Amino acid sequence: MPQIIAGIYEIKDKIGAGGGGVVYLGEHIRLNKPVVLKADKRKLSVGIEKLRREVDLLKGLSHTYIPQVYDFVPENETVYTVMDYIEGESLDKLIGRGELPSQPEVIKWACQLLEALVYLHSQPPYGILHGDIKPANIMLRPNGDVCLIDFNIALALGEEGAVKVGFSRGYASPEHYGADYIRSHRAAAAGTANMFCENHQQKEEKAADDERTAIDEETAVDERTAVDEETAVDEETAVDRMDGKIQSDVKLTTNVQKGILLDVRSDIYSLGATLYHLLSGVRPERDARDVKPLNNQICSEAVSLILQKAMNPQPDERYQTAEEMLQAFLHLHENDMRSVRHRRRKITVTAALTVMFLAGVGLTFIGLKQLEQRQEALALSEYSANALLEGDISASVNYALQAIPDGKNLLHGPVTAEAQMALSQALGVYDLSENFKPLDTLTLSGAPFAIAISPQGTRMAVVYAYETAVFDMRTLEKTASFPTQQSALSDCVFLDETHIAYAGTEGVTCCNVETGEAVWKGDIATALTISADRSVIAAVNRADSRVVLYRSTDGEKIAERSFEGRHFTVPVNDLFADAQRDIFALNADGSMLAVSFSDGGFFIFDCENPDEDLIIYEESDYSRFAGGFCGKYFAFTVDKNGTSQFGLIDVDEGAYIGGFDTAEKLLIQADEKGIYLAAGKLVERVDADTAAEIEMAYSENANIAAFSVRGIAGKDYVLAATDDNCFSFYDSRARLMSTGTCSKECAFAILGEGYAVLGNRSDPKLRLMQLENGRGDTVFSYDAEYVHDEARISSSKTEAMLFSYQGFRIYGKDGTLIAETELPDKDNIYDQQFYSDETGSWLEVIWYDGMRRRYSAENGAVISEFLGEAPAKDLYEEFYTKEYKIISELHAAPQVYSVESGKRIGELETEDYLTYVSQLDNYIITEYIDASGKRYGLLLDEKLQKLAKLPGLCDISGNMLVFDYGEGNLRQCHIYSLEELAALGKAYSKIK
Amino acid sequence: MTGLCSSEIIFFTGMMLMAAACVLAVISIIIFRLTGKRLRERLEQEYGEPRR
Repeated sequence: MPQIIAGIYEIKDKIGAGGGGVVYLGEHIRLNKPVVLKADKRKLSVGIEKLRREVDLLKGLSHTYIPQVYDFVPENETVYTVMDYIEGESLDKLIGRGELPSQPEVIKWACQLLEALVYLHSQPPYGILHGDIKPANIMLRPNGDVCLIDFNIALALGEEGAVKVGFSRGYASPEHYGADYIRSHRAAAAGTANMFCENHQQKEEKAADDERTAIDEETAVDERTAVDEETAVDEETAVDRMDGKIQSDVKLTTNVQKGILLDVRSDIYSLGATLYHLLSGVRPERDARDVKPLNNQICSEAVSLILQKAMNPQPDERYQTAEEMLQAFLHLHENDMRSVRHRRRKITVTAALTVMFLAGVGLTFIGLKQLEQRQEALALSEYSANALLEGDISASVNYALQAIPDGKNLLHGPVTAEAQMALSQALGVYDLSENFKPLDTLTLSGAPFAIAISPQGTRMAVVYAYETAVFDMRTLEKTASFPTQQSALSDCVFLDETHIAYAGTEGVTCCNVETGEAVWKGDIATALTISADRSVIAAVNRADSRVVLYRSTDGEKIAERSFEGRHFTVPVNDLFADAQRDIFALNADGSMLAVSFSDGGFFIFDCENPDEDLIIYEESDYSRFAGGFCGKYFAFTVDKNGTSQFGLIDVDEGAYIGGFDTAEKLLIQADEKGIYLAAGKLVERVDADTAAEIEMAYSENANIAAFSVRGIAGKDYVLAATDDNCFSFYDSRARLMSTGTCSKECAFAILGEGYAVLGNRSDPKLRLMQLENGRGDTVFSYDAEYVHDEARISSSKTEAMLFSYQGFRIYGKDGTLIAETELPDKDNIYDQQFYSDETGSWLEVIWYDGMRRRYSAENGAVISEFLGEAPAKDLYEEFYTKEYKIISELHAAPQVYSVESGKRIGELETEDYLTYVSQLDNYIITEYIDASGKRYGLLLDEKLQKLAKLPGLCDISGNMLVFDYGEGNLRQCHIYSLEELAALGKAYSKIK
Repeated sequence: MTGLCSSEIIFFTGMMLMAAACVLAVISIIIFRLTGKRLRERLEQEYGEPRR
């Protein structure tokens, strides 16, 4: 007859029996679900309610790896616990058959069991301890997972019915035995601990006791039960439990004689021991201290270490929680040394490549910024060069300074050669010549109508856009400004350095330019002229037919003359245009006034005696009258039918002396200094007394469009503007001093005392230049009239040799002529080379027939002479420096080779003919002759990049550059470093 | 005169370093992937599949 329990469960079969009771396989009658009924043989001694509470607690447990407890049924003085039926077999059976699982399987099971333990240990309020983990209490399900069964949460049944839970030898933690090597580490905050350590003597006694309480080692477990029959307790070693749980940190009141405190670490030990057995096939030693670690033939070292820690005799040294041990298993892969090494290698390589990449990014960024800065520097250098061409020195210096970075910034590349070149050119440090050099540009608020320079050249007045502005030529500051007649015909004249007369809005006005006060005012007028002695001013208003003469000092009207209906050529709209086709000039003392009119009439009025007026032309078809008084003469030019005519009148005699016609356009400057004519490319001075013509200037390339002649410090200078937008300066020997270019043709080309002004009627910019004396040190002087091609200084530095194919001269330091020689057979001279070494200096002349003659540079004597091989006609030359060999052929760029390696490094300037190469420190200096025969040098750096142009360079003496401009002096200066140039540039900028 | 200036040298060196780093990174990734796979297989053989 089947046994029915509580009318619900039918007992089918007995499946096991052990110390805790009998285990039956049953079935839920209604649900037909197989269950396990665990019958507890002991009498109930505890209250039913307490039991129910405990079972309720068990029923609340739900975990994959723990069997579910469904019910608790008391019947017939037996308590039945109804729980899940777990299919499978216990692990001890596996071990018993000798089928040891693999390490991966063991690890998997360990994780599952630890998850179960984590669950149990975390149950409120204080956790649930299993207490008897061993292979027999672990079921292996068919799906390969495990299930932890038979966890000892037996009810606290009291003394009489106390569940004597034993412990399995080898699996039980040392605490189960109360072993003396368990030390108490309970924190005071956790309460008083009733755990105590026994001394050694007591230990011996205890060991004996323990022997008596050894657990039955027989582990007969029914194959279908989860009951551990090994847990039969031999003797009374009950452990009181409170509420069915053992708390890990609870104050446990224990038996005074056997102060055993179990906590979660006991379970950990037991699990460790179980795993030990599963892996090795050998049950661990009872005494934890005797347990030998598993070697690497049984399991991995990492696993062995986990088990060692779990089975540490000291609970405090084990894993403190199941979670901790679980994490150790879960992180086996990661914590394996091979993984660690692999990870480290990855990190190291990643870090190294990251650093490499970032270094690359950094270098690329720096390089890019430097290249950008270099590009900017190149552009600024070009701007600087352009500004220099336009005569804007301030802008040129500023651009060049911007191209040279200030400090040591990693993002700034090295200073470009172009920047250094721009700065040296802008500052003009290597132009030592006496010449008109760019001063600056002045930008007006409108295009100029008229420009005048004061007699001593300290001030300049410009009439433009309704005002007359006065500038100080030294500082270029506008010092005064006066409102002017709104007409392009408005004029201004300087009385002296401090007084100016201009066509004021209220009439002719004379003002003090320093104070701005008006000295006197006259009638409304536009055109003004002043006598050479500055005593009389004549004024005419536009197309009026009368002129008024004023005494310049006080403005008193001296005379007033009518033109009887005649007038100047005035455009319909004179706001912006001035015909500039008429003569309006006073003679030296203001007694005579020359005027031409729109009808071609040309008169010279006698201001004191009208009856003595000279009528040159009553009326004519001449146009474009120009001219002026020169002493007793009046010189003029007129145009007619495409020809220009020059005429000269003796005013005193009232006679026309003579003149000439020419097809070329004539320009004239006639004043008390002289009469100057420009025709085509030539400027001449005409001697009125002798009619002699003396050449003042000759423009090679273009016709002269405007010119000015001025005597400065006893020397005559000519400024000629040509119709190719260029301008040139000539000295008193008609020698070309310098040439410049303008953006447009210069309508204004005016020389003052030490200054030159260039401008255009449609451009508000005026270009100012200043006559500078030669810079640098004068080392030698010579006769400026001596024509020569080259100049060299002897090695002793006491003589200078000037030579050409015609001959040579030798000068001493004091300027005395030491020797002069004319070379024979000049037309057959192939080459001349000047040599200098420790022994001395000499000029070697080579003739085409092979004759070679050496002339001493000290005294001009012939040192040696011999007939050598006729030189090749290919004009092939070689030059040597310390590091470079330069081969120069005619019509080819000189090639540069390394002396050491023979490798071609680069090439030099191609346009002109290379004559000499020398090296000074880190600089290479090359000398050239251009197409016009002018000599110049180039300063190069080690990379053969141009650092400066050296016009007029003739020699290198020691560390100094020597320049010859044909002026009669050899001048020298040193090579300016970049720092010096920058300092000079900054100083210049500060002044400006 | 021909030849690179120092700024160009710095720039191209930087580019080359970046390129080399990228190439080496690709090679490293391939190598580490292969060795990592081999290591994973070995560890799985020893410890079973990694559990989370």
